[in-house]
Amino acid sequence: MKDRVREFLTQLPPEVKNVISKVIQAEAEKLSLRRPHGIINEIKQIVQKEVKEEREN
Amino acid sequence: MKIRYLKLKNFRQYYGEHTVDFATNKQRNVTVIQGINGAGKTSLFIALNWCLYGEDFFKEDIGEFVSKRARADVENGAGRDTVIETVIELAFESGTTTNVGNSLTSVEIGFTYQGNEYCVKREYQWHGNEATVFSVKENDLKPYVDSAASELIQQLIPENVSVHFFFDGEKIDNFAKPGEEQIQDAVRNVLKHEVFDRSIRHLKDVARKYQSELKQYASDSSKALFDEKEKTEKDYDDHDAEIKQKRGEIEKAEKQLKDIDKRLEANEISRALADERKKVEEKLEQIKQEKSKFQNEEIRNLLNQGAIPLAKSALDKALEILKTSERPGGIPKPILDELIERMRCLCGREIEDGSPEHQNIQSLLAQAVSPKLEFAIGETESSLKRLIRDSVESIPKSLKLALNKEREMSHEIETNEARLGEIKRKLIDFDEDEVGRLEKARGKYEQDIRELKDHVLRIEGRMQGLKDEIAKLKGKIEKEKVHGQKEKQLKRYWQLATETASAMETLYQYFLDDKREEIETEVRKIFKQLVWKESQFQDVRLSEKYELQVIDRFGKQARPEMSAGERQVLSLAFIAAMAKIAVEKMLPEMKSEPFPMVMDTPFGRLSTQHRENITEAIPDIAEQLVLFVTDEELHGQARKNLEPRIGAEYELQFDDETGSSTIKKIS
Repeated sequence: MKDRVREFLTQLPPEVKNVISKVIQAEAEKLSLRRPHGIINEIKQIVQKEVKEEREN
Repeated sequence: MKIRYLKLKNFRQYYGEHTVDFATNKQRNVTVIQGINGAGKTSLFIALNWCLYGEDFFKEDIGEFVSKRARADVENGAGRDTVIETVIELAFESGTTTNVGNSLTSVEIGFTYQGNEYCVKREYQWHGNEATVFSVKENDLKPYVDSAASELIQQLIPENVSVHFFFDGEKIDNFAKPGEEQIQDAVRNVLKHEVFDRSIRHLKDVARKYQSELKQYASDSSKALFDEKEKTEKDYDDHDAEIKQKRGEIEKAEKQLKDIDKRLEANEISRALADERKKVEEKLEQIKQEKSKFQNEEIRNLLNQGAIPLAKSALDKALEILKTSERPGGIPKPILDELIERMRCLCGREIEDGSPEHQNIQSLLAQAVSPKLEFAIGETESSLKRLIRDSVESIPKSLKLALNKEREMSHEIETNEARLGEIKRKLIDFDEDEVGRLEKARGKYEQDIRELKDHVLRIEGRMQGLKDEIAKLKGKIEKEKVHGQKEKQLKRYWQLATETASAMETLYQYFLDDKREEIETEVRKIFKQLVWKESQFQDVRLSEKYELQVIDRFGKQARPEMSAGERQVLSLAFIAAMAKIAVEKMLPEMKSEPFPMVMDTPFGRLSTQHRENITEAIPDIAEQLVLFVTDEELHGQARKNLEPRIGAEYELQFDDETGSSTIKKIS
């Protein structure tokens, strides 16, 4: 699944990825999750990595 | 978690105090509670849920909790000032039993969980006014009361997890029926991911907010599009709400229908007809599924090829042309080329330039075709022959046979439907008022369910149309030009929120697909464990639409032909898999904690062979198993199989005179 998620995220505009990352973080905090876990954490990490790479490029 | 005991006082038909001590031994992990229909099995099941979650847990009206006899005692005897109580206690492993005290009705449950001992107690008191007291005692600590107690129980055993192991047996068969929404609902509920749900919902709210702001700055044409989109979205939401309401009504009506069936089955006068109806309905459903599969696969295939026989005269002509077409004298072109090159005949004689032989070879060469074309002509010829033999001539015959088979199935459906009609008329005309009244009510619920389902289908169709319309309007709005800076910014935000919500929906789908595969693997594993050894099934799948599919040994989907018993085995596998996944998903820190499985009449529809196999394997699907069974469900080899695993056994006895049940310990 990770590959499928990664492939999908790669095709998204950077702004959309940014919003996904922020929304996940905000909702996880609202739910009092110290840090998002499972798939949500994976998505967040992939998004952050991609956004960082795009900025560097 | 292991349930230690359940203690009831004046709960429904249980007058006075009654206790069930559950088997907690690892080897002898099965508790069997036997009773005929109406003896009080379902009441024990309701007691477990009422004790833990209270009245709000039940979607439908489950009637009075307080024993009628106990209430009558108070009203006729001691007078209004007397305290009437209903108590249910549920204890887990070696917890201390709370004193039942003076409550009218109470249920107490004792259980062990993560090494701690709990005693949960719900009491109903009546002093002219009603009052319910809920308490949970953890080890020897001071008890948690009411909202604090509810909060603790919700943390330990959330309601949406418990439904997977305190299992209402009436639903068992439904899980394996094709197109059954209960599977989808169960999977969705167990996989529901709060972060995804909230993110998508909030992003959509934000998009709506931007849309409404953007509308204020928009041109007249854009405004009109926004208005139309908002109106269509509202229509969609209204339809969505309506569909939910209608589904709720269907669920209620189906429950009422089942209750009536139970009462008709329990009544001696109507029992035979009610049982026959159950069988005829099952048979009818099976034939309908077979017919639908036959129409969708075999007849459709034949019809798709149906045009071929119409081309028969053209095919015959093409074959005739190929057969009669002039060929290069039977001598292949490479040989003719070689003769010309060597200028020598095959017999060794020399060929002179310009001689009649030379001219003949030249003429043959002019007519000759390449070996590839020669080969293709040969292939075409044999293909045409095959087509005429296999399709042109056989399709009409096969179609005739298939249509005959379809007619037979339709006839069988009509016969069974006619029999159902007869049974209905007989039951309505029964001398006993109660039976006729129940049957009339049943007919009304049946009609309601039919109408509601038709209505839901119509709404679903309309919703799909509205969804397409919304997407079109969104596309049009995006194409509209914006001018001012503020308008441009708002439009960008609106698009961003919409796109992100849609991306999150896709990611959620990936997550669901992944989890679906996990459930599928688990169902497959348990199904193979439960199913008989000389199985004719090779695989179990959970389709993208969350439909359970069994693949037979020929690699085809077997479910329409599965018997009610086989479907039940599949359902049991699904239930056990869902219980495991529910605990892993919702209580990840409790993964290693054993959980009980409580099942009401799980062997009801199983044939002897299935029952024997299931009873051998079922004790291993949960660490603690509580089975409510009828006397007919567990006997012979099935009972022998289960016996070494039974740690406790009770019999429910119903007394017609007093209208009360008692719980008698057998072993």
